[in-house]
Amino acid sequence: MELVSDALAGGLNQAWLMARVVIPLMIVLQFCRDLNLLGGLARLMSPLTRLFGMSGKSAFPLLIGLIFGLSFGAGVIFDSAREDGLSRRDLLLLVIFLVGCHAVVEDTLVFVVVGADGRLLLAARIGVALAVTWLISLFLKPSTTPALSKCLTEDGECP
Amino acid sequence: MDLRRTFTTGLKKGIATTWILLKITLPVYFIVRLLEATPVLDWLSTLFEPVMGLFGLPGEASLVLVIGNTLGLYAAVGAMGAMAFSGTQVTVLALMLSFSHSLPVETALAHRLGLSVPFVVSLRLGLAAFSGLAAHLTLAAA
Repeated sequence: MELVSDALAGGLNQAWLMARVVIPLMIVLQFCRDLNLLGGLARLMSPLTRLFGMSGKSAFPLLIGLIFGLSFGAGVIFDSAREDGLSRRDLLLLVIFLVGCHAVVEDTLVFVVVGADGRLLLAARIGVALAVTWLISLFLKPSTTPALSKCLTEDGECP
Repeated sequence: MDLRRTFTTGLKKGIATTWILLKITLPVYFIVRLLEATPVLDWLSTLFEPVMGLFGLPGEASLVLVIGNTLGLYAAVGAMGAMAFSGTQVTVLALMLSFSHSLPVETALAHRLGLSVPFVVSLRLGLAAFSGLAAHLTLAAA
């Protein structure tokens, strides 16, 4: 029965480690939301969107995905694509970047809990996603296609 | 601006999120701890030793990678907590999992946003393999 008590103690320890990371994180994110810090932060993203030749309208969904993750980011991306008329190229590059790199605060801290080098993780993830997106952006010609307002509304199939 | 309200909302969300996450990590943690008492992990280890060796990882790390890529990062962290890895091994595993995790859910999302499924899956697994290899080589040399 030593195994059971051992596993129980380990499980409780892990629960504590996780709560210690997640609860402060959610409080900070709530302040960012309520104090409207996100709009200002989005402007800091504009050098990035310019590097990829994307429109400035992509900065906000990029930031949201980067901080809050793909599932929450997806909602904002849909919304931006419809409301602000992101081009197909903008959308592709946005999603490619976010597939490689999203929810960076949470995903990094989760591994710090079990002892990983957080700075290395963060730097490598952002660096690699930047490199991949930049490479692909060189091959995707600036789009002349109109905004995607239609194809994201119904069944998600884009031409 | 009611800062107190913001704080309590954040706190409540934090507790709710922690609870959701623990419902994922704890079962995985216990299952892996129990598996350690059986020969299953040893079989897995022997089977995947050669591949995992490329990344400087023991064979049982394959289980962590499989759990992370299917169930998600929290489940993978649960499994990692139940096993004994060195600091470097934890970082290499974390790096690989950062690029590639929760494939069923996240690939569906990316597909919904216009990327093709084979593209997303191969990009992510490729980045995981590349980063694992690179991290192992540089961290081992350091």
